This record gives sequence, C-alpha cells and structure tokens, in this order.
Amino acid sequence: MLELNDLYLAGISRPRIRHINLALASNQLVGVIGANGAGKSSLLRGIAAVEPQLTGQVQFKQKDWLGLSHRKRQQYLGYLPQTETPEWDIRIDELVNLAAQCARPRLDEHLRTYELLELKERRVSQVSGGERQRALLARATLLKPQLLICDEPVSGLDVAHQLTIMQQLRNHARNHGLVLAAIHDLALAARFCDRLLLMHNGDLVQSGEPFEVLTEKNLADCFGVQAEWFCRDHGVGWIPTPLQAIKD
Amino acid sequence: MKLSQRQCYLILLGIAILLSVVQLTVGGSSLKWWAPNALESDIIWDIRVPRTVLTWSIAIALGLAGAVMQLLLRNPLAEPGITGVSGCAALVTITCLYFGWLPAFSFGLPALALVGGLFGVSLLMVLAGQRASPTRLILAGVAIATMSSAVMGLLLYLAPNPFAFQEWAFWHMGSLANKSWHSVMLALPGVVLALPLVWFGRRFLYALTLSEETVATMGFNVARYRNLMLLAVALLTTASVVAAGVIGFVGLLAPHAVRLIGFNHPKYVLWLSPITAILLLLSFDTIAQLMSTARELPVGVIAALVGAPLLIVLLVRERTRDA
Repeated sequence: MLELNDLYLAGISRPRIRHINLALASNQLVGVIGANGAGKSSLLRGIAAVEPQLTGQVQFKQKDWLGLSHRKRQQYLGYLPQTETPEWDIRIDELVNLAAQCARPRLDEHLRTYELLELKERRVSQVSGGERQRALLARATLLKPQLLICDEPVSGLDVAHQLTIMQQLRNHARNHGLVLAAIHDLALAARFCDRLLLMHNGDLVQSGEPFEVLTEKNLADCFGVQAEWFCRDHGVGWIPTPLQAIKD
Repeated sequence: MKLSQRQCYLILLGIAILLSVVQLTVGGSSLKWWAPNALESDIIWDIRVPRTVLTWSIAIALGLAGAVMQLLLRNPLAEPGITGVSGCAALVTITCLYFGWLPAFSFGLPALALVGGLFGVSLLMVLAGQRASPTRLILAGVAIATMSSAVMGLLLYLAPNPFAFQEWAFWHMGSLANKSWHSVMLALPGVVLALPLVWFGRRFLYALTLSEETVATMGFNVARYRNLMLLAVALLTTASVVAAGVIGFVGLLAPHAVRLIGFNHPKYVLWLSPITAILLLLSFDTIAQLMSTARELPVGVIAALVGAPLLIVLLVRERTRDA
C-alpha cells in the first residue's frame, strides 16, 4: 500500500532521515519508535508531504504520492502533528468538523466514538490538554482517511485514554487502511502495533513485528536501556534500566 | 437566547441602516428630506448619499481586510496596516500628488496606488521568504510600513509646496469629508475584485485555526492560498487608502468586536467583521460630524479616540467572563 524508496531529508548538522526504503501493507497499525532526535517525526512529516526538502519517492496505492495535488492527497490522508494549538477559541464540535463540512448525525457519531459528545459545546480553552488532543485526533480521522499519520497521538493522555486511543487507532487500521504513529511508550507500541519501525540517528534500523524489533541489542543500541519484559494474555509490560546505571 | 449567523446579520444590518439614516441627517445644514429644493437635492445626492455609500465601502474593505489578516497570520494583533500595503499605496499616492505626476485619467491614481500596494505585497513576500512563518510576515510588514512612512516624510520635507506636510498629515489621518461619487468609484473596484478572492479562500482561512503544517494536509496549497489572500488584502487596503486616506483601528477593532461578543469561529469573524466595521465607521463619522467646528475632524482621529477605549472595555468584559 505504501512504498518508500530512498527517502532522504537533509538537516542542519546531519541528515534528519537517511535513504529509507520500506514497503508497508494495508490494514496495519505501524508504530514508529526511537529515542529523541532519532528521526521519527521527520519520517512522518516526510510521508505527510509537509517537508518540501524531502527527496526520494513515495508510492501510495501505486500512485506517486508526492506528485499528487494537495486536494487529491487530502482524500487519502489524515494527519495529527506532534504539537498543535488551535489559535481561535472555537467549540470542540467546530474543531472536529473544521473545513470538513460533515453532516450533524455523522459528526455526533464520530464525537461519541472519541468520547467527546458531552464536551462538544465546550470551547477549546475550557477542556483539558488530553481532551483537546482527543479532539484533534478525532478531526484527523473524521473523513476516515486511508492513510492516517499521527505524531505521538497519546502524549499527554491519561492511561485509560491512552489505551482507548490506541485501540481506536488499531480499529481505524483494520477498517480503513494504514495507520502510522510515532509512539514513545514501548509497552503500548508492543501491545497494540502490528509492526514497528525502529529509527536511530535518521536511519531505519529495523522494521518488523514488535518481538522482532524490541530485542535486547536494539534496546541497548538505540535507547541505551536494558529491559525485562512481562507478557500476559491481554498485554505486555516492561521494566527498563539505563545501561549506564548497570555499568555503575 | 442564542442567535444564528443569519439572525445576527439581519440585526446588525438593521442597526447599520438606522445608523446610516442618522449619518445622512447630521450634516452641517438641515434639509427638507421630503420636498428638497434644487440645492438641497444636490446636497443630498452629491454629498450626503455618496458619503454614506463611501462609508459602507471603506468599512467593508477595512473590516474584511482586518479579518483576513488576523485569520491568515493567526494573530489577533494583525491589521491591514501591518503588511505595509497601505504604507506603500499611500507613498505612491503622495508621490504622484505632490510632484505633479498625476495620470491623465481619473482612475489612474487608484491604479497607481494599487501598483504601490501590490509592490508592497511583493516586497513582503520576498522579504518574508517562500515558506514564511506568520511572525516573519509580521516583521517584514512592519519594516515595509516603517520604510514607506520614512520615505513619505522625506518626500514631503523636500516637496516644493510649503503646505504639503500639513495636507499630508490631514490626509494621513483619514477622512470622509467632502467626498463625492468619484471617491466611491475609486473605492468600489478594489472591494468588488477582492470579495470573490476572499470567498474562494474562505475555507483556507477557517482551516488556519490549526497550524500551516496541518492545513497543508487538509487539501490546501498554503503558499498559493496565502498569496491570493495577500492580494485580496492589497486590493481592499488600497481601495480604502485611495478613497479616504489611512483610517486606522477599524480593521483591528472589527474582528475583535465580533470575537468578543462571542463569535469565535473564523467563519463568523470573517463575514461579520465587515458589517461590524460598517457600524463602527458610521458611528465614528457621525461623531466626527457632530463634534466638528470650523473644519471637520478626521474620522481616523475619532476612530482611534473612541476605538481604543471600546477595545479596552471589550477586553475587560472578556476577562470578567473568563474569570
């Protein structure tokens, strides 16, 4: 469904992403993981076509993705950036429906899915940061995009809403297409993602199923930690320890 | 009771018509409106009515330009003057007037002022760069406005006409006095040309509630739409500058007034600002006429004197409501 060929993005002191080649199938939730500055956001921004200096090729459903017009691309794409602050103090339902012109029953149904129906008449300034984040994600998914790109969609959310949002992202992937999400919490990534992309210093170190990617070596090389993992029927947990602390 | 956008329009339009009637009747001489003689008829149709029509035209231009600038730059402090467009248009107008380079036909001057305005916009885009952030646009605009003001001062200082500076100062304050249908015809083309542009870019302006990065993924070519909107602002600002000089504050105050009475969505801000600007400018001009003694006060002065405290009252009200 999505193919990246020799994707490269120059940076000031070093390349932000380096010669990335990758093919991703549809109906998957793909987690992009890596330490700070690894190139996760740059990769997602590049795929979302908001990085004009990006070189290489992106094919989406056999189409030249970067060559599509903005309007054509918007028919497939939903995007949630890492930081987003609505400038004007509008209502939550207006924010979710911004520039989408969705009919009221469908909008209400969507707001219910994201547990925003009761907040719909509140203004952006009257909701918490987590509620605002949910509203922004609801906006990105309103038109059921076939390619959904979310940069840290669960940052700032309480644990219950983290789980709900991750489940919704997985449902979106199952029902509508491909979801790419940068995720810092490796336990959440391991539990919900079908596939993980491990980034380090602008390189794609490994792509594969969570158990293939979250190896002892990768965690040590890319995150500087050693981890003890716990697996249960309904999820996974881990206890990370910094390598420096172990050496000391 | 919550009012819909349509009800709001109708109410504001009703008030605007009432204020227009007041503006029409407050002139220097009292007129027999129902049975005017030839002189009174001339006063009504050649002075009073054009003044009211001009007030509406200028107010629509200022209100719409102010709203577009605030939505485009995602900044509630933005106003048409901040782009430097009005400064450049005024500079060209002043240069032509005081150095005798008047065009042969009457619409040559606004055309030249428009060239000045467009030059200002082009300079703004060059200085701010291809992928300009709103902050860079504002800084570039302030630099252009300051430069054009300085060059205007220099030209007037060197002008052969000894009263040039006084005339310029009066014109620069903005006035609706002694205007005719000619002034209306100077203002209208810019407004008529800009309206379809703003209509075309309205969804882009609504979407700019979010960052430009997000808006780029919502189906909008940000650079192209931004340039179109700047062109619309240039047309609107030039229209008002050429016809009535530089009337400040209305473009800033109108969108704030709409927002502070509870209409925060960009849709309301964009389309209620022109009509709010009409109410403001009609009120300011009526006050200017009522306060006038030998020489009528420039409406720009009244706009600043009345507008600034009004903005403070609205801000205090907003703070009280939030508390």
